[in-house]
Amino acid sequence: MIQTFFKYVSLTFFMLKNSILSAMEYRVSFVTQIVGMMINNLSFVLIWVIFFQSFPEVNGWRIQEILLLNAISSFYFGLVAMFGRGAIHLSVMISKGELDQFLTYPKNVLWQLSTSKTEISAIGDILFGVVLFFLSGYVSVLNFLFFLLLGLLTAIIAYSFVVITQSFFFFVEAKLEQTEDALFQILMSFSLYPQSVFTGVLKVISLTVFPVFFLGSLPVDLLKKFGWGEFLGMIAFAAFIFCLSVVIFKTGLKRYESGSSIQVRM
Amino acid sequence: MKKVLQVQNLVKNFQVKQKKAGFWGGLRTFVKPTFKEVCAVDNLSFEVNSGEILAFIGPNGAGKSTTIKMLTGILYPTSGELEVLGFHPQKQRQKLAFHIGTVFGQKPQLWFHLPAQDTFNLLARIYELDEKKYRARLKFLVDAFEIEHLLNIPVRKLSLGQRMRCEVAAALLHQPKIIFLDEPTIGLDVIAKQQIRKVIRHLNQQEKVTIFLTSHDAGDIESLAKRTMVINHGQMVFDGPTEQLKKNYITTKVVEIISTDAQREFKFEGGKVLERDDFRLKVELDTSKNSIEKLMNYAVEHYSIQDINIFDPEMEEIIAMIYREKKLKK
Amino acid sequence: MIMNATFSLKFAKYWMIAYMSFINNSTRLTGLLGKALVVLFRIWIFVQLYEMTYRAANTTNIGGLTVAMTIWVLALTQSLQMAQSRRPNLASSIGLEVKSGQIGHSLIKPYSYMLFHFFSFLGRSLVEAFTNIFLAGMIALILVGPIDVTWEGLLMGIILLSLGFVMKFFVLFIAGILAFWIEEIEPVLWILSKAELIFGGVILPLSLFPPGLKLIAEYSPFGQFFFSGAQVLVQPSFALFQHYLVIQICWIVIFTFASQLIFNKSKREVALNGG
Repeated sequence: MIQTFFKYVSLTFFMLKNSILSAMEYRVSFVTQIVGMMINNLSFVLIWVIFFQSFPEVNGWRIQEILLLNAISSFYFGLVAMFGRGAIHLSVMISKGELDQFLTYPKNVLWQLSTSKTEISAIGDILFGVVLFFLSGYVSVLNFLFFLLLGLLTAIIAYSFVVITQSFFFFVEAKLEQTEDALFQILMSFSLYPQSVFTGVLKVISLTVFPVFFLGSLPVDLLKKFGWGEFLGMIAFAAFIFCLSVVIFKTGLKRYESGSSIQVRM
Repeated sequence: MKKVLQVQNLVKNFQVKQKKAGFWGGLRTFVKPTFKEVCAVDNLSFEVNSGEILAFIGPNGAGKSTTIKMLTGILYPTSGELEVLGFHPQKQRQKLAFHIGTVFGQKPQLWFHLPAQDTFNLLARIYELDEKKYRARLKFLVDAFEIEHLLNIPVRKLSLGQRMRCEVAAALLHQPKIIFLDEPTIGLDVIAKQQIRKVIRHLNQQEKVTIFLTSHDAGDIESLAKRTMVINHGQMVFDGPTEQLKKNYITTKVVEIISTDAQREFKFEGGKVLERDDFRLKVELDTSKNSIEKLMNYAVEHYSIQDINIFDPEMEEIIAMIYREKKLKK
Repeated sequence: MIMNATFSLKFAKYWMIAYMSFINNSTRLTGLLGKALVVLFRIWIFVQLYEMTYRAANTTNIGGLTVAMTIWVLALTQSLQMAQSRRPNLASSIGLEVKSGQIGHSLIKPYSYMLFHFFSFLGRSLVEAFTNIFLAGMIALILVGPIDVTWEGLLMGIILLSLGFVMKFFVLFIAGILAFWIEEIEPVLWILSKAELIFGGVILPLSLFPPGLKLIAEYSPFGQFFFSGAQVLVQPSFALFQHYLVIQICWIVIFTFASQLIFNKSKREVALNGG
């Protein structure tokens, strides 16, 4: 079991290498992409810098908390985009029958499709997240390591969210156009706002349908002040949502294999 | 002889959503869809022995791809028994995958922007090949396919023929016991086709790889497959030696006469002029109406013959006839 | 008489182009709905965020806008900004045309070229804009209730928004043409869209900016794309309208000159490189 895990880990890096080489072949500038992504993230943070010039504190959140929030978000987004980009396109793969190829190989299909694509600019996101962390004022060696761990946990949660929402398209035949990543976009934009402002229905949503609470609020609180209860809660949620995503995917894949998702794929 | 494929009473039905036109129709379809059951594979049964090269042909929509998908574990059958290399494709997909190779002419597995070598290396790891064995195997395939000079060029820069050779090599890296070739020579020129066929034949002879070939190219079928299965409307229409297929469906022969007085009138029972110019006369003879021998006599009597050629109808014609479901001449 | 006929024919042609884009886009309902869903969540988040912000600042009016008005402004700016940022981006398409040399043919009649792109851009953005506005408006209505809109406000707002649209078009168009001289215009587009995000009042309304930056944003073209029009629509003030109008007209003049210059230069480029 452990052996299999390490096998897949080393294979992931191999796939990643291939994906990066492949992207480098036809993309003109590797560097432009990474820098571009960092500029992109920076602009969001700048908005908050401007905001907090006018309003130094909103419901317990100051610029430092926003920086932490963005640090975590960039970091986990970078991880997902780098190691699981393919999952974001699962819905398209389903409709085009592109999963067939993966089914002929002796490896886990979900892993294959996730690693089949990668986003180079994601390195920019990861770097940016780290930089922001150091600017946030909650820095220490221990905290940095903890930040990395939380980054990994949130990445698992975000990835699972993507797999679950993309797997909807196993069961529903719908015209996709630009809806594929609309849901992910919502998740992302949701998680970039100080979550202490959420009340009522929106708050409930942030705990369930779009689990931004676990992707933003909670890690930030943990980085400010560690608490075992919260930490274990986070691990438990990550494990739960990951297992859920695997189950949903497997069920969807069975449906795909029994041909119900076929329109004309012959 | 070991059986590598056993198929019994294989059935595959699809539920196809009935789409209604227009806005309200679309809405109705979305809210309460109606389904029509389409039978793609209708009670198919056959067995394949180790080392066979088998052509699996039929018109589009006949059920070929569906059958192959079921054999490779991509699709689940509706009912029937299916065993590939002793494995159950549905339940033991990954285990089976180690021993089969696939080449889909329309869906390449080589990474487009990378040299073939990189994809080969990746596949070696996916199939968990021992490093030494992989290197030896790679060398063998590279020599057999003559692709050494192509290995480090990005695949997108290769010609179609070169790409196909690399694709087939990729499918053989892990020494599969069966390979499924779906339209491997599509779009290739004559020379490239011959190259691919040569390699396939070579591999079959050397390693006893069982080959399951789908192709619309009559040349592929004639030169490679000893056995042909013809499928139409999901049912097996013919399963036997390729030679017999030709014999069963030959109801005509084409005779070409080279003569100085080719322009002379041709009148022969059962004979139809196909082409004619000053020195050449091409005639199609319905062999049920008259015999070749009689035609020969007539030709010798009426024309000063310089050369004469006799052809079977093209494989394409034969296949076309099967598709049109003309009566068999037994 | 002949002049009129030719002109109206040309005009008809351009309206046809806009109409075709319109039709082409209205069939992509699901895509539109998906995007509208994103807007929905954003507005909802804004409501909660700004309600809390105003509460923290202990006031009901900042920069002339109440919370409700701020939300409506953001609903508008968000809707418009998203409608205009559809892929393929106008600037990238033009950039591609430059790269591929296709533009060579079109540069013989540069104004037709520009008009053609303008009208198809209009057609494309219009449908989405309306859908987005409709949905964002509904959400705003439910969450913060209606606001007072006067006819003057509406008129002034629409004028500013239309001119703002023209400005946006110019910016994108010029950015696209830059492909003649800059190898990769992508970084330029990146920076432009980020500047638009920050100074365009799309996420943070300019009324909430600290004083210094507020001025910069207002005078920059970005603040004039959507925000100024939206603000005046919601908070009708003739003084503000005049103020913004002047800024917009100045920019349009600058852009017109810039385009002229660039066309002349690019004609030379095409002549030199043969398209």
